[in-house]
Amino acid sequence: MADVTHILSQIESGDPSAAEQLLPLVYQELRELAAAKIAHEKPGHTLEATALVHEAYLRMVDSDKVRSWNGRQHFLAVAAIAMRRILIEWARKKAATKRGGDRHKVDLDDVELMSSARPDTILAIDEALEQLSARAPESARVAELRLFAGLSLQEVAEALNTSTATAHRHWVYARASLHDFLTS
Amino acid sequence: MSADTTSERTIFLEALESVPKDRWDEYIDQRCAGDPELRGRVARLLEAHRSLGDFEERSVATPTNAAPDLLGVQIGSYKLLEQIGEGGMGVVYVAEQTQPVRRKVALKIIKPGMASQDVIARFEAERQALAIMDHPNIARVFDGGTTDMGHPYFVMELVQGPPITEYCDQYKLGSNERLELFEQVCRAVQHAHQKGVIHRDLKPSNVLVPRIDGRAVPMVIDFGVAKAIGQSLTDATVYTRFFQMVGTPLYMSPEQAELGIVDIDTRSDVYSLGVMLYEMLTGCTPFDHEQLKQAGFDEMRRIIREDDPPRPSARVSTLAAQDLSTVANNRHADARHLGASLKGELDWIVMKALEKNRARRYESPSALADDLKRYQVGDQVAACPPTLRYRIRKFARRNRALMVSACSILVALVAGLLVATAGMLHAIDQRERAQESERIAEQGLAQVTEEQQKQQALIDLFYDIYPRDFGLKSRGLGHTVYESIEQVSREVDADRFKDYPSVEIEVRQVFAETYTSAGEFDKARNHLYRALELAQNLYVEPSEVVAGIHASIADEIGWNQSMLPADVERTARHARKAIEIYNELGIDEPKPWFALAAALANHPQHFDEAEAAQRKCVEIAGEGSIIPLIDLGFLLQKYNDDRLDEAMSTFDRALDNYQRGNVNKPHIKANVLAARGGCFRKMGKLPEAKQEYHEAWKLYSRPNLQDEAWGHRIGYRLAELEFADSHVDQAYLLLEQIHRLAARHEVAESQVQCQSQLGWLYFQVGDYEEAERQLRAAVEAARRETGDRHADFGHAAVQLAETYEILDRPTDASERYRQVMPLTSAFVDLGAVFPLAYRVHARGMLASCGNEPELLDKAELLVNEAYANIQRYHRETDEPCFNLLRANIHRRRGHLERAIEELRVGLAKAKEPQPTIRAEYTCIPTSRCELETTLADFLVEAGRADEAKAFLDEVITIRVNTEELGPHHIQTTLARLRYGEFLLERKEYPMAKQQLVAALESLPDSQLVRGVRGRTLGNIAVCCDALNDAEEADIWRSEARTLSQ
Repeated sequence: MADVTHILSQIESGDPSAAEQLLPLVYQELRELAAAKIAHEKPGHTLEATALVHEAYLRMVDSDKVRSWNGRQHFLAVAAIAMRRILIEWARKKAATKRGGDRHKVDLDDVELMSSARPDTILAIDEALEQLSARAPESARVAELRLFAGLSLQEVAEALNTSTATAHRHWVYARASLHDFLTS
Repeated sequence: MSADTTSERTIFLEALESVPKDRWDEYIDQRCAGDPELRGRVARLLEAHRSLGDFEERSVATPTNAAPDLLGVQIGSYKLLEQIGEGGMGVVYVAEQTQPVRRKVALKIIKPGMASQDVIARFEAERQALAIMDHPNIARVFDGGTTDMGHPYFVMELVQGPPITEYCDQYKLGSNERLELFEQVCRAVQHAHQKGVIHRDLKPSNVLVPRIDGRAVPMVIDFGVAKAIGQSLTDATVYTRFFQMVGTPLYMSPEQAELGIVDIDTRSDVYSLGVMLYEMLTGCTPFDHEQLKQAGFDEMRRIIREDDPPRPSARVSTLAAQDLSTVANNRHADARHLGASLKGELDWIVMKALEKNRARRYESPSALADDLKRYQVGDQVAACPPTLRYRIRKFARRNRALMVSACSILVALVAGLLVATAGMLHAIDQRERAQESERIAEQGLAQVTEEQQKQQALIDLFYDIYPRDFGLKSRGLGHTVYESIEQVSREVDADRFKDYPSVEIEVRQVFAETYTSAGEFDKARNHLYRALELAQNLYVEPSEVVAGIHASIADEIGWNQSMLPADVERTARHARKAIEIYNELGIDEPKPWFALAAALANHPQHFDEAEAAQRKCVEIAGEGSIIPLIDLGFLLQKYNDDRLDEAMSTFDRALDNYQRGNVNKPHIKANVLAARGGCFRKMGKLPEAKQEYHEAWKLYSRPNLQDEAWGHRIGYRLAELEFADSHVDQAYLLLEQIHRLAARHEVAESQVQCQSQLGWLYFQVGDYEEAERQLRAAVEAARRETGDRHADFGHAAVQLAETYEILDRPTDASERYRQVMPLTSAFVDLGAVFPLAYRVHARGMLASCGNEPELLDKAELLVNEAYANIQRYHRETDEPCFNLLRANIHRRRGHLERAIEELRVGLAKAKEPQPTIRAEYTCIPTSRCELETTLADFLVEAGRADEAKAFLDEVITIRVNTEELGPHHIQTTLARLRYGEFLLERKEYPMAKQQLVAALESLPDSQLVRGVRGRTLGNIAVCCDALNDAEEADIWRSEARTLSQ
């Protein structure tokens, strides 16, 4: 298996093609972790997306070697995409077996969102993010990082190579948009 | 981004950032004039924003700013006045209650992230219990609910004061004042427990100390909150909190750190109280904050569950000078005395509260408080005896032999002395001791009998060594007992017993026994020689005491298992002297005979005398003897494979005697059975061998024998036979089981051996990466437990070296060989018959000598010597491995053809089909595998690849046609696998694929071969790629992925 630590250092040393190798690896690891979690928990137990992402980081990356903060941000950014996919898959599967759940009130300040989200909520958020992404991709990306990888604004800013203030503006806008979409 | 969106977003953000809330409508009216749709969208966004509340970053890195928005807001009948705190869980406000009474309260709003309904439901469930709690040191919880924004909140009695630890430092409280404060906290928690409420999150920040009427009143807050929030109930929340770097894992009990455990009881609170007490006394928590923070999630949980924190006094002693003086200064204490003031009972009390196993903790907070009270008034505390007993037990398991002798010293020292016994069981009372001495003095020493002299001398000695701080020295009881023995031993040497030579003789003999079992042979010998000298002066010949000491000296060397010619000589001399004296006295004593046999046994040239001596032992032991017969059997089968039948019938006699003698000692029976099993194995009768080992292991599996290292060894042998029988999974599971038992009972040597054995197993199935991991761990553990002059170390290190050779890491391999050189050269220098030592030594030389002719000559010399020994003592089965070594030497010299010839000779002798089994660590592996692969490699090197192929093909056929193996046996499968990998390397893809697929199909379904299976799947995929069948390659790869899931 290609080594995540190695890929991260390639990215850091400016090889953009390395990033493409990262997603499938992270996706795979996260899926395994999630599957293990689901298998060991009681039925109905939800996934702690952020926790999983961090656990994957600990498992996959030799943090002694990837010392720079940047490497971690790269990882988390990719992990957010992967986690979103996994949750969608999971939610689709669940929603298929159990229809008709009420759409839940979603607190968008909650970076641990997925811990309390139900399948239909996740699907709704995904849809809302898709919509937002068509209109304001940067804002959607910020929301994705926060909601699916639990990044703080500062971390988001570093991952997207922008200022915290900008990240903040994107987030406030994304949040209101998502909320509007979900409640209307 | 569309223009539409741009303006929508811009206007929205402008409104947020530069326009007061109440003028938003006005502002967007103005900005969106003429575009009602845009206005509608922005208005909706602003509305959404309003209902979400102002965004506030909660990351740890961001400084917390009060949420001014909420101030003045009305929540239910509470009006928020001022923010007074913020923690991982929520924000705390001072609020004014208006209904039904007007008062100030604390209102805690839980941060989002908790499922609100659940929190409130749990809170409601506990409300009843919370309502009836009424204690002056517990902040009352009045109410709970959900804010309009959906956040749960709790309303509590308003307590304003610093956390207890800060309070103590702020007011520079001394130890006693701290303890008093802490006792109040215990009583409060006890009250809650009696009402059925567990706190679950006790920590200094939940114990605040306001001053009321000039008096410190500790108040426990947040009762019921932790449970309602459900924290620490799932790993997920623990995890989350860990990453939020909340301080709480520091106070978390081991059972709370356990995943999935919901079974938290009042003793969890006792643990947290213990942590708090620890911190109040030492200024730091038992586990270091930084350390926990840096540990990974699993590591953090492991630390909490497994690691023993240093005792408070030890913790203080490790503080840096600067920190220490701060801590001391805060306690009005002298830095130099702080550690000492904690040492002893206070240490015990804290450690009892922090026991990993809650059954050993104080059963309640009040029991903890009571013990502290007892400590303060100078009474005997409850904490010590159980802890001491527990530690003795723990230590005893770790080092049974030493313990037995240590106890025998204590027993000998107090033999028949009621006074002393009482003194041992209870804390020693100085007055009692003084009275006793007085009484003896009154009797007048001159008149007391020798027996009494001895007793008094022993009492004095015992009082001197009785360690008041048992278990409190640096590294556990083991060291303390040992140190005590050392200390007394020095006393004895310092003429302490000058006037009582008979006592001194006896005491020295006990010490010798202790040192012998501790492996300190030099010290044992010194005591014995001194005792001998005294006895020879004191007693008239022939003296039984003198004979006994001679026998002990001989026996000690037997224990020592020294094989140095001089030692053997000395043993024989003392043994014969003892025998002579016993003869004169007409006493039949087996000990010197046994020592004689044991010492001579390792030297084939003295074999006959050894055998005669052992037979004498059997004779003295008489009809019905068991153990002397087992020893005789071992001796008979030691060198000469021709005498195996004789050995077996000796074991049979032992078994008969066991059964006839109505002895109910299952471990003895198991030992006899295992001896028979070993003998069957040497005979090549594997099914019979397995049967015996199986029975033996069953006996050792009984609960009271599960901690016997000897039993574990029998388990390894059984595992090897299971493996030889192709029952890979059974072998693996058995080793796992033993490892578990060894860990549970803390049998260190077995843990090491088991790991080593697992590494061996992985090595056998060709999973060298995993083998390397296991063996590396085994080597490190062995170095720690036994040092690097021990067989357990050597064994693991050699196996590891061979693993590195296969992994093509020659530098690592030669490094490991170098580590065992001191061990192997000791044996080789003896010139005795240890083929294994020769083999390892020669391999080690080859691993690092390159093609240096001189060194090759030396290695060859060694190999030839070993060869001669083997032939002299009929160990044909050991020959092939030396053929292998010779072949290697030939090749290094460039004589490839001779090397190939040598390998063929070895292969012809390697028993068909010798499955890979290892008998103990004294025997060498006799499998064909390495010969086979080496031959194939050399043939390729000689440009005879086709021949190599044909050979490896034939190797499979041999196994398929062998009755004991057959086509699906693990050995056949592995041979196929090796062949497949060989072909793959030679790029013969279709054939490689065919072999690999066949091997894959017959690989057993076992966890153990997962690595091998994965590698094989990958190799097959590579074949498919090379054969341009990408589709099939994908199928194999996806199977490999499924495997890793």
